[in-house]
Amino acid sequence: MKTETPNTRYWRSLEELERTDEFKDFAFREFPEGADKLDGVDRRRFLQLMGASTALAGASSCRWEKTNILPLAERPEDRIPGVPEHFATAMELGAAAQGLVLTSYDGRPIKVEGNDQLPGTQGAASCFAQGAILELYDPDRSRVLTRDGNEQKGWAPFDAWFDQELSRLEAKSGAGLAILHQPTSSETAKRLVAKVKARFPQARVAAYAPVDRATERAGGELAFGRPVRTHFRLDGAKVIATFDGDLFSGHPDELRHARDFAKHRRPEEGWMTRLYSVESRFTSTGSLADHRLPVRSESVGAVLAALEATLIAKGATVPSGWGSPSAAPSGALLDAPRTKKFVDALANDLLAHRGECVIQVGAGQTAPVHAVAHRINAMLGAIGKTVVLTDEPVVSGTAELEALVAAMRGRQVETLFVLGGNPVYDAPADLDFEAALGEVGSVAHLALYADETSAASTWHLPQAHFLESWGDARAWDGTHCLTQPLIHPLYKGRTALELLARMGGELFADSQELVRATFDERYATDDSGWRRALHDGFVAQSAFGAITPAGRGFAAPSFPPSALAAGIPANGSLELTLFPDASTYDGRYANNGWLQELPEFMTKLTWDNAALIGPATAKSLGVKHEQLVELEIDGRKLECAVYVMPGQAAGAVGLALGYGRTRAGHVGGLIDEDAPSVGFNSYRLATSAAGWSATGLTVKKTGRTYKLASTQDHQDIDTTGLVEREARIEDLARHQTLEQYTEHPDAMQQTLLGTHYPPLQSLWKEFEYAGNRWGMSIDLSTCTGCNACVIACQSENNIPIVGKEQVINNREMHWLRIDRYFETGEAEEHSYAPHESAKPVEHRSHGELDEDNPRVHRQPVGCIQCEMAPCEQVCPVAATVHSDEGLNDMVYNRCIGTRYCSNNCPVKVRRFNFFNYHKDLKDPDNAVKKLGFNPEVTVRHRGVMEKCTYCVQRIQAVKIDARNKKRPIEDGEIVTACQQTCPAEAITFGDLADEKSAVRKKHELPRGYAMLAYLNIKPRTAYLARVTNPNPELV
Amino acid sequence: MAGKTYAPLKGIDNTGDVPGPRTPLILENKTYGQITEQVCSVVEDPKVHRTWLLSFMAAVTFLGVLFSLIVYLIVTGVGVWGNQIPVAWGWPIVNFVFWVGIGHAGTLISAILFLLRQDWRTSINRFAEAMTIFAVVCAGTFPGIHVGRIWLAYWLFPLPNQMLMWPNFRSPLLWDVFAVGTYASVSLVFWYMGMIPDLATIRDRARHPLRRLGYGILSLGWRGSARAWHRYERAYLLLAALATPLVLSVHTVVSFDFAVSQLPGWHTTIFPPYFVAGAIFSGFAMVVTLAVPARAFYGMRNIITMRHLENMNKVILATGSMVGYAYSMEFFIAWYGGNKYEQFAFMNRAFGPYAWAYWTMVSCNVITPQIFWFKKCRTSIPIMMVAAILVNVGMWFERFVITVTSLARDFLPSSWGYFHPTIVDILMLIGSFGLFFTLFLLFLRFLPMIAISEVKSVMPFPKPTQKQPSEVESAPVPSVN
Repeated sequence: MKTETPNTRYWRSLEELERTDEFKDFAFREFPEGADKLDGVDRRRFLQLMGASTALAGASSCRWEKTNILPLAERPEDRIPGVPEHFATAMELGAAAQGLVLTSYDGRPIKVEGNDQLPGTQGAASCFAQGAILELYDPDRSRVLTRDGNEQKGWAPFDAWFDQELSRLEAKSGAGLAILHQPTSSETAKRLVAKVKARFPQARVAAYAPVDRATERAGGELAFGRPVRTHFRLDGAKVIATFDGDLFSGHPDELRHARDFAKHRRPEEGWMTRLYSVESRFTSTGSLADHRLPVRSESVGAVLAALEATLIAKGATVPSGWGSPSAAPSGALLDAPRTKKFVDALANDLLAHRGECVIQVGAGQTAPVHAVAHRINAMLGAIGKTVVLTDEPVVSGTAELEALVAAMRGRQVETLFVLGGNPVYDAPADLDFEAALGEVGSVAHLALYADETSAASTWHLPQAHFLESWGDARAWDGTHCLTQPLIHPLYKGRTALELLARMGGELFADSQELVRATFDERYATDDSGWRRALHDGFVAQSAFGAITPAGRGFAAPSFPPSALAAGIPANGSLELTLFPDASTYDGRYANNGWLQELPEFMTKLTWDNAALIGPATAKSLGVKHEQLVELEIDGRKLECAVYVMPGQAAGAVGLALGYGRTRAGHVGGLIDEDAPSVGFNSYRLATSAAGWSATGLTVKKTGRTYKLASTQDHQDIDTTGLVEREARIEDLARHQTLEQYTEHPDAMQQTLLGTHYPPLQSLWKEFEYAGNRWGMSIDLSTCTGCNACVIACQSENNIPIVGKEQVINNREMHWLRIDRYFETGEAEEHSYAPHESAKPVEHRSHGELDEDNPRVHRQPVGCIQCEMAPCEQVCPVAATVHSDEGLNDMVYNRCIGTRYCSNNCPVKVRRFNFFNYHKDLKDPDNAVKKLGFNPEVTVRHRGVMEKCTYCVQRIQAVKIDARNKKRPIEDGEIVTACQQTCPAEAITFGDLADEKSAVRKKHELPRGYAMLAYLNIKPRTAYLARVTNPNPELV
Repeated sequence: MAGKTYAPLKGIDNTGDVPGPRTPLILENKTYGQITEQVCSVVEDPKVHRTWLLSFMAAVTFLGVLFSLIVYLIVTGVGVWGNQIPVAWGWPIVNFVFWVGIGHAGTLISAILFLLRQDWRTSINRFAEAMTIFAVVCAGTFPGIHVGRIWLAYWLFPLPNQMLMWPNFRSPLLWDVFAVGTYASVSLVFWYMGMIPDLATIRDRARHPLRRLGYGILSLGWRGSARAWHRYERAYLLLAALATPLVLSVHTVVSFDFAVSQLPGWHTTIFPPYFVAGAIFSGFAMVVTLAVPARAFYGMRNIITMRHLENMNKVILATGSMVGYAYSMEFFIAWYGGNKYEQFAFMNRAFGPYAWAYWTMVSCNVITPQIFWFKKCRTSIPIMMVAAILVNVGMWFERFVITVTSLARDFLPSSWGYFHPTIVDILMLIGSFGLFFTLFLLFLRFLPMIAISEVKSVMPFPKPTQKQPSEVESAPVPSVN
């Protein structure tokens, strides 16, 4: 941001040189009044604005080469109008950076992809990162500063107050000053905080975010005497055991985990890894597991301790220095045959794969449990091989916040700067942060939205979005990533770094200088090094080095009797587990419609969180799906809807964080403007002491019901449907064990449902393809259900969101969905078993499956681009037609919306615009949203059918380029949006006519099959059957 | 014959056939003049009956509801209905098929029964044909407004255009456009042509010049010459021959909308005959539903006699049983065909979440008509009225069951859904009845509801072989009670 420092070397006008008040005011606002109103600019005004912008090109200090709204007389290098540019940047979430590459059209970023140069992302991006586009252009973002709720004219009033306040506090060497920021791995932030501390020695600086990995850090301190960060090399692990693990769902390194795990889940590529999961909530990690043991969170550690004892009993030796583990806990849970068998088999498997195994404990577990995991990893020789330790630079936890709140309550804080975050909403309920704020003289809150904390603060300051900001952060592996702005701040927001710099007294004309200063300080390099790093998005070779700290003895974790008890605990001593949400994270993404409408993989729930209760527990409590219950723990109460979730451990109630926002925005809840809160605020049940899970929960029925919007039926359906669904999984989402695969690799080629059909003959003359035949393959073995592809598709193809009511009405618009099926083994028990007749091989190995421990099958389904497409035959106006490359093209302009194609689509991937879902764009306030659309893809009107196109715009872009350069299209050159972002590389796209193409090879794999082939639809998308690797001991 | 009086045939039960003289089709032994008077007086009555007016006002109100909802629909989008994915066709298509089905009886009665020389048709054919036209009007409304971009619905027609685009001739929906279009136009011509002599009669009787002008234009200069009658009867025969295949074709093609798709529960070869039988079934039920009150209100019991009603009930019994057979065959073929997806489609219909609709359909369509095995039921006005209404309800449900239950659960269980109608769906169905009854009540008031000239042809006098009414009276026909 611009400072008031006179810049007299370069000047545009005499007014500037003289720094008249008019000029200051003019320059300050950057765009004169009205410029941000995107509509209704008449010619005269337009010219005025143009003139002003031209003048400002030199006057305001820009973040990047600033362009005028006049056509450029001289084109900046490499910028061709209409040709997208790509810039590397990074997003920090959970104090770890995700390297990103942004696609920018004419200066506006429209698509987020992962940085393929970084080992942690390898081209993939999480849903949160991809949702940033919608967040950037969210019209609900705060646009003005407010003081006590009154709008201020620009930053000037704040700057005046700020400077005055700082000099006042400086006189007291910072006593009474406090800063609450987000935990960060930013080196610049670290540098600037140090400067602030130097200027204000008595200032309090605290970091807080509700979602952290504090117990992991503490566990490292217990085990090694210093905080360590644990990295897993899953591509080298033959046995992986997770304990309340979040390897693929919520871990900062989840993208890498998925990529590495996938490497050894493809049976044709050598050995297969085996995954065990002990967990309370049914996570996508657990759903990937070959063996899963559902136990409550409090019992997970006990199972781990029992595992350690079993390992020792079976001959594993504890390395020296670690002390001796105390006796194994015992109790009904651990003595149960199922647990015993599981632990026994796991121990044998681990011992057979020393040095090639991983024990991972999730962030929800306590520090001693993490320490035990370290010890087991050490015992098994995994540390240094599959488990790599580095320093942990990020301080997290609630201790700092607690100290700060205590100081606030003690009236020791006069001025508080809250830099990002939303503590009024997300601080533990027992701290009562809002009340503590009342004790502070002035509070300035920097945030993207005028949220709950802003309402309780003196000053609300609009924050610049990370896509508008300069910054830096370290990736999970320590690689130093740089954040560069893709667009000038839309609403003149500032970053936390800018405010910190100002507090620290660092002078800067441009916040790039702040990051550059850090860079120059750390790396001895010239300008080209900086440019290189900016171009790459990260500093090469900057990852943390591995450390090999010596282990030490520590007190064994203690388990209360309830943790060792089997069965369902009584109501009143149930367990409550809070966890970061897959859509809203900690609540910060509550106003992001893409994420809100993204079906959480396991529940398929959109627009809500709900109390996840296992079927048996729900039965014992007498509660049903979609009933409203009152959760009570330690006297704190919350009314919440019930979601009966198969696989949820007995007695465990899971509840996602991040809902029930009251000032998130028009999407996530803005009670002042009658936009109802989405979901239930689970922070009301959180305490700083209890951490993520606590026992003593009571569930009380209220007698009312609540409608939940899930995109797939929950399990509570009629028997006819339930049995049929289970039976069909065998045919639709095919799967077999490694053993069966080895014996009968092509068993998956056969139609398993025993469907009788005559020889397949086409009624019409079949199409002939002379050139490319585009095709896709989706590997069900590696898909983790992370939803990244769904968001990528939404962002790439301008897919609208429709809202909760319409999702309830089955009108969601996602072109790509991930089907999730539970397998409980009920189809076999039932007398009506439609698939009994045809089983080419005994390919099932259920073990002990039931409603409370089902297996999950996943299947991403977009348009499978049938060669003999049922949709094409029935469209009366020929709006969906076959291309000569085999795509089912949708001609939006020709579509009149009979919806016959959807009826005739066997996979139901067609989506219909029942309403004009872009109606809100007519509101001038929402005009900014238009910037986020992909200009290569039509925005569909109401009454028109739409569906997956295999990203035809991407195909065309490559084809055009290839034709211009008279070169053939290379295999792998065309990458669909879903494929690009898939961390597990489950999706392959290419030319089936090319015998050497990767997709052709996948189609020809023995486990490649066409879904519903008996309809003679000849789909271009082949699924690769899932191959699991169960332990023979447990089958 | 004027001036001669005959003993009235009141109290005669003409539902039985006895050896000997033919049972009269028209009762009360009226003269031609009296028949003309009886039918024309309804049209000529200057007094507006209170009952008619109230019914008409009610019908127009519902029609207004329909029109306002259509405007609302066009302004807002088809999302105002309960349609969704997977059930992309909901009530509008159900209503369409329902009304097309109703529209079958008229042409069947006027064309097929004409060719088969079923003389009893003359009393009800005008009535039934009018019903057909109005039902087709109702039916035609729905597909038109059903599409997502209503303003482009004309793209369904093969019109020359700047895009040089033909419609897709492989699409059953296009066949539907042709089939229903042809059927509607032929039915309209047939109905109108049959009405010309009667319109001329009204013209000739009209006193007010405006009436004379109006009916004069409508009767196309009919003078009743022998040559005109000759041409008229030839044309009528030809149109009957033309309309006969259409009776079969239109619902066959409508059934193709379903049968040609690959959806389990739709994709069955039994659909064409099954749909035609169902259509005749529902059409006759509707004729009974309308004829019973109309004949009572306008005093037409002597023309639309119990024999006519009984005959229609027999048709209902026969077609109802055919429909029942089709229902059971669907299950048999699903089992016998060995296709698991199809088996499930039918298991799901009968035992899934839509079982209530399925069993409503079966009880109304299969079980209810079985009471017509008994003559007492066939000839009881209250029983046949209830049965006919139940059949109408049942046939609506049949279309609902076929359309919605098959779509709701097709191949991929992940995409299964459950259809919930909205208030707009419900009001539009009611509104379509408003449209139908508005047209029908106008018809009753302004056009001859009985084919006067045709009825006269089946009266005893013109046929030399038939005996005089006085002799008939003495025949051993059992009297009522």
